[in-house]
Amino acid sequence: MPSQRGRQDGPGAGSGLTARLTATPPRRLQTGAALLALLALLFGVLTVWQVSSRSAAADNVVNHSQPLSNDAAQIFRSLADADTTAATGFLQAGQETAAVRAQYTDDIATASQLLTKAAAQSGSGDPGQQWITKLNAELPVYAGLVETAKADDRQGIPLGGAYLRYASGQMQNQMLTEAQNLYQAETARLNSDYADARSLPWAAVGLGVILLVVLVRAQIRLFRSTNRVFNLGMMFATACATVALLWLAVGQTLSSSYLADSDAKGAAPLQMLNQAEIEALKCRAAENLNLVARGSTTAYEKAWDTDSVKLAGPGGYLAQAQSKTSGDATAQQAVIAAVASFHSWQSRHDTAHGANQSGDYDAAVSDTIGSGGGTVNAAFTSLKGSLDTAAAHEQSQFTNLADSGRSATSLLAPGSGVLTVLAAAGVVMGVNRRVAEYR
Amino acid sequence: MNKTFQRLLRPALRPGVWAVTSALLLGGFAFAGSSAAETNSAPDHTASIRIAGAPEDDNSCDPLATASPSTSDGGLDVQRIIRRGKLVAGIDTNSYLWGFRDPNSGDVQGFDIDLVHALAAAILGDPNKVTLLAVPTDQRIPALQNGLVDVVVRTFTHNCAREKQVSFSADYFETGQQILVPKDSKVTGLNSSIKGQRICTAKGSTAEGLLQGSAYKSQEVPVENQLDCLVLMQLGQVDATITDGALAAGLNAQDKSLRIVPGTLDTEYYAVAVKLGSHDLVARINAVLQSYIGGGAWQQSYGKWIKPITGQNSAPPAAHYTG
Repeated sequence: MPSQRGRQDGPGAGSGLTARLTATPPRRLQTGAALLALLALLFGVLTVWQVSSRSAAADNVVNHSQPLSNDAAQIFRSLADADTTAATGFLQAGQETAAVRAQYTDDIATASQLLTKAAAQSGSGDPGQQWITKLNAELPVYAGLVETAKADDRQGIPLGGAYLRYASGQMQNQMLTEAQNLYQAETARLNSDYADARSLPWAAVGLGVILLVVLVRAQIRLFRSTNRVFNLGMMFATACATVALLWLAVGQTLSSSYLADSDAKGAAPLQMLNQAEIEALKCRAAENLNLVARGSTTAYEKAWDTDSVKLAGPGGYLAQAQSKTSGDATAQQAVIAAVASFHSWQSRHDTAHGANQSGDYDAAVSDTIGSGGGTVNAAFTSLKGSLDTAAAHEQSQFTNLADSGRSATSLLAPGSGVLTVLAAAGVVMGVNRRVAEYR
Repeated sequence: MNKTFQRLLRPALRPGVWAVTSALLLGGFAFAGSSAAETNSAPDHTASIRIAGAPEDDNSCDPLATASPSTSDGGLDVQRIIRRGKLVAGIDTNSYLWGFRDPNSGDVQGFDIDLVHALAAAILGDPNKVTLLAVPTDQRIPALQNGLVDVVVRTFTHNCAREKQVSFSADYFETGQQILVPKDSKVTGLNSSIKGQRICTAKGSTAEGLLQGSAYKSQEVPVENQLDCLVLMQLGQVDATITDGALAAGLNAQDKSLRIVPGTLDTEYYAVAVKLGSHDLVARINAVLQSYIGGGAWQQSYGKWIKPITGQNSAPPAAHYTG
């Protein structure tokens, strides 16, 4: 090519680049080929870039934001459960069982570990960071208040109950609000990663279509000027570009659809199940604390009334979880079982509440925290168990579908890169054949 | 609870005691004054600081005035209790020494609870025929108005404002608002020394009303129950608590690092409250109170719960019976 260019350098050299590049038919062919090859390479670069950024977002969903969102829900659950369990242990007074004690200790340990993990995984600019810092500072204070409450209670003075109510107030009004904020921040990030991963690479697809149109038009013009039907190089380039474009379109659509499924059939119902469990724990804490407070406030009765409606009322979390799991028999069954457990919980709660209202405090306490089949505790435990079963199922659904989504585009970036380089080479080779005929 | 209670009531249940009581009953209402004479220290009024214009200081009535005692069980309200076979009493479970639940035994006990059992013993013949319903401070009046409880025996101050909403028995305890502070506090009373301090009171309590009308109120911290004030004080979130002297003693008993500022801010009387207009029940309760006080059960209960903490003697105020 340099030799040709040298030969063609003539009188028009000074009139500009365009003139020089289009001075003779072979020069025009070469220029066109170069532009076409450049277009193919540009398509390649754009595809690799757009596909990689989507894969990275999908990786983020699976490895980062979904686990973090789930961890945040777990932090909330552990904190709420610690509060509920502390009240149960307190109501058991001197007879606090080893199981209740162990559950409380585990809850605090789990919350503490997950907070440390979340702190390590989030940067300083992270929206969840401020909540993690606050919760980290408040958790030991809360645990200290609970221990003070128990110590006072063992002394036989009523101050213990007031301490426990204070500790629980800190938990319910401050820490759980922060944990909810953390959960919302992590879930917002999950949703934004989802949006990034699922957006179709329109720029790359558009450029691919333009490339194909230009390739076909170039071949038609070549056919008209040379009367040769087939140009192997150009045909090879067209084939490569077509495969790359189809692969891109099909792969990304498939991936996006898997990811949409992983959201609709995994992450979204999981979020609703998390919300339901969080609300159930709030109800349980209100119920226990009402007994701890024993007539010093009506706040917990009101809390039960509002929280139980949020959980199981029309359009509540259980109803939403039920509709979100409607396409999945296993999860649906578990949610229906949870709803049934709530109904027995509600009726046992009413019985215990009635006993308390008529002054039979001991019956109310044993109905509420006692172990055994017909107790509030049994209904609550079975509700929690059903929600956990449904959540575990949704989590595995999420993982499977999200993995399918990721593998649908796993070779797309390098593949389309290679194909577009081949297309560019094909264009250059095919045109060079024709240019050689001018010699 | 039952055993403790029976032990406590034993003197009152003996025939001899009843004879004395009857004599007292027949003799009218001189007993209150006579028992006051036996004791030496009712709250020290010389040290008290009066709050003029406080909303609770409604002087439109005589808070010591009440219906004359009657042992008749014929009235509608007394009959309702007898037919039910249970006395439903609104009580507190968070006021140490007055009405509190022993966390270890689970029993509700205290000075007020002793009185509830005495009421049941007299009206129903069995001190244990009671249903103890814990009611929050700000629910005491609604609980009576809604018929949820027959009586409220819950460190309930008898004052004129409340007399428009509920009816009161004869007063059974004299107290006054007091200020509870950490030992090293510079507070000397509801005066300039308390200005700028964070003060805790229970919602719906006499102290809250008193503080609202005070020129020295600064940063009020209202809570559901006076016991919550002790938690806030221990955590350093409030600097002082204003509550009835009787309750302040209960708080002080749970934390010896606090002190009660000498002197009361006012004079108040606890009485048993019933639904507004239940005159027959008031008269019946007044008869029980007469024998409870005259028979020595009052002093016995006082000696068991309150005296060990305050170290002071006390006596119930003399009632002014009206018709």
